[in-house]
Amino acid sequence: MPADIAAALERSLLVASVAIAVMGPPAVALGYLMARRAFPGRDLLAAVLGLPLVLPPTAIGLLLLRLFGSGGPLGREVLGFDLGILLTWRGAVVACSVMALPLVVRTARVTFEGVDPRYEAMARTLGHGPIATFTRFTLPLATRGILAALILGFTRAVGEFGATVMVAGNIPGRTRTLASGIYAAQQAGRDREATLLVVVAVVVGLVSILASERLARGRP
Amino acid sequence: MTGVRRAAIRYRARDLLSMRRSRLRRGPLLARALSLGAAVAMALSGCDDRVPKPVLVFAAASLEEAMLEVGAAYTRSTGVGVALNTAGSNVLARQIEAGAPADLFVSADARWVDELIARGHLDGASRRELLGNRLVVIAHPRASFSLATLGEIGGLGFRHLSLADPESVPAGRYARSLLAHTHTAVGTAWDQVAARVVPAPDVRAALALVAAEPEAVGIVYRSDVVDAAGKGVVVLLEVDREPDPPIRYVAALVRRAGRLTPGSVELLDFLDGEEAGAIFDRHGFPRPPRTARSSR
Repeated sequence: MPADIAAALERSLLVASVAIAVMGPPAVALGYLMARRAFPGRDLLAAVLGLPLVLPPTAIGLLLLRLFGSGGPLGREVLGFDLGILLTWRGAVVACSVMALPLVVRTARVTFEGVDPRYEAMARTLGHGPIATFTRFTLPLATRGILAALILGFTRAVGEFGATVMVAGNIPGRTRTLASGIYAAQQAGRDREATLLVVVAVVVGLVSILASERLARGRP
Repeated sequence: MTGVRRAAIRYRARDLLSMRRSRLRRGPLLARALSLGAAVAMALSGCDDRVPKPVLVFAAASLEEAMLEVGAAYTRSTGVGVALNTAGSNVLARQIEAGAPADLFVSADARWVDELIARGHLDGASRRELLGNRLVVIAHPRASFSLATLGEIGGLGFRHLSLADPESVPAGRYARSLLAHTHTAVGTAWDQVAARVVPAPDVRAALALVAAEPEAVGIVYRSDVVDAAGKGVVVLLEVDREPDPPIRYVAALVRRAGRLTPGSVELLDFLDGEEAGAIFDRHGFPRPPRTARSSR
């Protein structure tokens, strides 16, 4: 059992890390865009991005299944090749990315809204291009908030279960994560295993949230 | 009524109204809120004293559509409402154990009912086997699998076998049992497919996976594919043989504080009757053989 638990933990951490690595930068960029520019449809975009928070995870899972499944818009018939999403760890990454996306975007957006745009204007008057302004001025001012956003997304990804199970399956040894392992153990009445997994998950969650809190408070 | 009396009543009414209005405005806010709340509560509770409360049925998820129809038929003939809570039978059993206010439990396997009877949550005398079911092997419409007997399933070139989790969901356990008792030249069918099993949280999820993945086949209840085309799959094989133990939907009345809910006995009898039997049959749930149906 300890070997299975270690494997599930490792898989959860791996999937969540990849999900944040892949989804994080675009999500932060999106948050910046929505904080700075009021473009037509911004509110609608915000609403759509927030859907994974509102809909039940199994609904999102079913949507993803239809999207990547055979006959779907990203399925092998339409694309001509198999993306290899269904029933693989890549599917778990996709599901976790989708579920964590709204948290990262919103937190990033709020962070950037807290950075005074006048600093950026000043940087521009001093001759810095838009990218340089962002990387040398905006980003350093927003670092703590962005890190908090990413950690929040990471934590959500570690705990993600409903959508992941539909897209990646709950195959022990291949796509079973900590969260889906807890579910399976509970359902089967293996209470001791379930409790053990819950303890591990709680520790992971506490460490992440504490780290996020410290970052948000910041060290001068 | 004379004009004078009518006028007097009008004046009196106006008096009362203005009095009531000013009385409502006087006095501390809390007292006014409480009296308003009490009036509302009395008005609401005064309704429907003579209409019996609906019977709350906890039923296995696979029974949902059939139970809705049977419940509607029961309400039409008796006027008693039927409220339904569906989930995996294991989930329902835990809810009942935790004291959920169910009146009747219809489980997809006997294990949960017998466990709850042993712990005193269900009434053993009312236990009866209501329905049976069969298993079918399904595949994606575009897949080119064909199956004549269950024993051939190991040699079928699928990548994934989509089942409800055999560790916890009755449908998965029945499927595993059936495969484990199917002998081939090279061991049991279960031995040949176990490595390719994808355990789904429930039967419908297992079905959804097969509808999305041509390299997967699945084993689900026949009742789930009564309209197979509508669900996006094709049936490769209908397995007539029953798993061991056979698929039985077992029902029993719930005891709360040692008592049964009035009205639940009538509903259970209705579920056992002819009208309900026809509805269940149409949804793919036959009655089990007569001899097995009496309570223990």
